[in-house]
Amino acid sequence: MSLRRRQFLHLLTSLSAAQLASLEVLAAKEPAWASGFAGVVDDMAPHDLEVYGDIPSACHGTLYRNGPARYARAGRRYGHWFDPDGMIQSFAINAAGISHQGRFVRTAKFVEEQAAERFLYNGAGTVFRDSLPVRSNESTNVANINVQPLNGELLALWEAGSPYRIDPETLETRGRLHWNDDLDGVPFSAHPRFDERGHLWNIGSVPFVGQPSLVLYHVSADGQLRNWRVHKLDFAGYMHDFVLTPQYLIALNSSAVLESGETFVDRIHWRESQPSQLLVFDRETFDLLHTIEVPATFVFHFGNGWQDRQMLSFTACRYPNSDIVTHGMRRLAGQQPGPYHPAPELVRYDLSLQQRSAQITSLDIAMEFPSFDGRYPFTSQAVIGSGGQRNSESELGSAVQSVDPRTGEHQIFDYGPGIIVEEPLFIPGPDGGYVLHSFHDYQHQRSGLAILAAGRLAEGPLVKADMNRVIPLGFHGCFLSA
Amino acid sequence: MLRPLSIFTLLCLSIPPLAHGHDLKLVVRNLSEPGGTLNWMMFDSAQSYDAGDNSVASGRHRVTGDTIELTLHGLPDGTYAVRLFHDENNNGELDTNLLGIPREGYGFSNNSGERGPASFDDAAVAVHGDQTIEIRVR
Ligand SMILES: [Fe+2]
Repeated sequence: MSLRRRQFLHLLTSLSAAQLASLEVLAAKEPAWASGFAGVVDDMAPHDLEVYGDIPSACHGTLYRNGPARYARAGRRYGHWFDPDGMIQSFAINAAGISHQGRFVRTAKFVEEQAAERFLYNGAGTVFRDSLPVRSNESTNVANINVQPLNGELLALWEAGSPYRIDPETLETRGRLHWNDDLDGVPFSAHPRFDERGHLWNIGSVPFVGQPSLVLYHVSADGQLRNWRVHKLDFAGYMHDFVLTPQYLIALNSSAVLESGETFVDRIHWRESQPSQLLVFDRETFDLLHTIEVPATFVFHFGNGWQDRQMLSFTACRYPNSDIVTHGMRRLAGQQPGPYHPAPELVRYDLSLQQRSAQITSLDIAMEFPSFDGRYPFTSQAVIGSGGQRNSESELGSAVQSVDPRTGEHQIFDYGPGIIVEEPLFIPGPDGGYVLHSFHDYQHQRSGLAILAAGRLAEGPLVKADMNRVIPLGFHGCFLSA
Repeated sequence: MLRPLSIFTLLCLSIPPLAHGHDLKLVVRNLSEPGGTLNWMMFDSAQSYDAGDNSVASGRHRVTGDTIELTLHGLPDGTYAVRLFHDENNNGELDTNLLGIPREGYGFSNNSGERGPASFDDAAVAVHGDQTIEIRVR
């Protein structure tokens, strides 16, 4: 809880109703969008949405999302968006309508703190007095970044430890995923990628233990670990996502370098003079083939990658520095108004493996939460994402958009102030398919879903559905068709 | 000398207990699950602590609940550091993953070592009279 808010709540306990009324002005100073960061304390029981429009049958299925949800316990509040315990949201979409429910991931930390009725450990970005020492990263695994399918179940993904296994029907937690004893508790990023066969590939960033290193993973569609390898790195740049192509894995060792500091986030220092490195690994052998230096860069998320002979191309939502993670995500979770960090910018990277050089082209469009048609992971295609960050009240997107990274062709529908658009996903269907995204309507304190025609985004939603309750703003998810 | 807790308790004290020494009670909490063995060692210098030998006292105890209490008698004035681990699978060692991160519970006196191993100085407790050291296994 921010100091201002804590003081305010403290005041509330000692004031009369008349005095409270005069304090409404003070309360109103919290930005309207801040309700998306209030959090919840209980699982969210199934609840029907009010649906406007006809749901295309191609969109029948379930949207799963993950995000930080438990912000406070016993008068203490987390101060960074990375901190709160993960909650899996599901939206069951069928001909009869849309039903939402949410369930906290029962991580070891969540179970322990639930019993203690207070926070026991520091968060990724928050220090509590009297917090307990940790055994390993797993002591503070909150499984709050992404949820993706593997072999008939869901993985609730963090990035500094192992994923948790989730029942897709009940959202119950089945325990922590154990690949083998060597990899027990070893970082596994929240952004695994799938190839055309449904094999899962991932990185795991290990910035603290001895020399910084990167773990590479290959898991077959039936959930069997096929291959893994650890590479030493030249420096401990923050890494959140990577790019997969038919032959390569490409990771960006960013210039947000993990050094000293009290929390994970405190350790992140922007090093403008440290060029970032594009690390190109062979997908089958996991050998490091090329290290290509690029100007100091920070990236959370990449679009898909494609390969044309010796030219590798991919998109990224690039930041000029790491203020988003060191300041922006604190400000959001702290429910504070601006100043704002620089907006993410959609760029295209073209790597020449022969010349070991990278050409970086800006598409001059603000974008975050990029996604693409997962049926064609290695084909050059439009990248879908949230947009409008440059004019946003919160710094989060108010628009849904798609951009062709070769031609720059751009479609956008901007809901304007009052709506925060969460990660949009492509759903295959007739006439170019659909785009599905959840949203937070902070003017009316409602959460919901929208479906747009992928080829006609500017026309706005075909279907809009919402409900009279607020889901904490989340990060990533997946759609599984019925 | 230590009062044995049970037949599963094994204790070594490598210094002669003083008749007028102090009682040191060691309380180990938050053992994760019944089963396995608690291994602990107590040192009186950074040198022996870092080397992991010449402990002043050490012990092994079967874990049957979430807490183990034991008392050392006749301890001379001094500065002591305790480190322990819960050998859950009884293989005699603290199992780790490929990064060397423990996969079994461990702990240090003062509950020191916020992330990973504690130094002797961080774990050191000055003993001048009867005293209790409480360690929370993490
Ligand atoms: Fe992410």
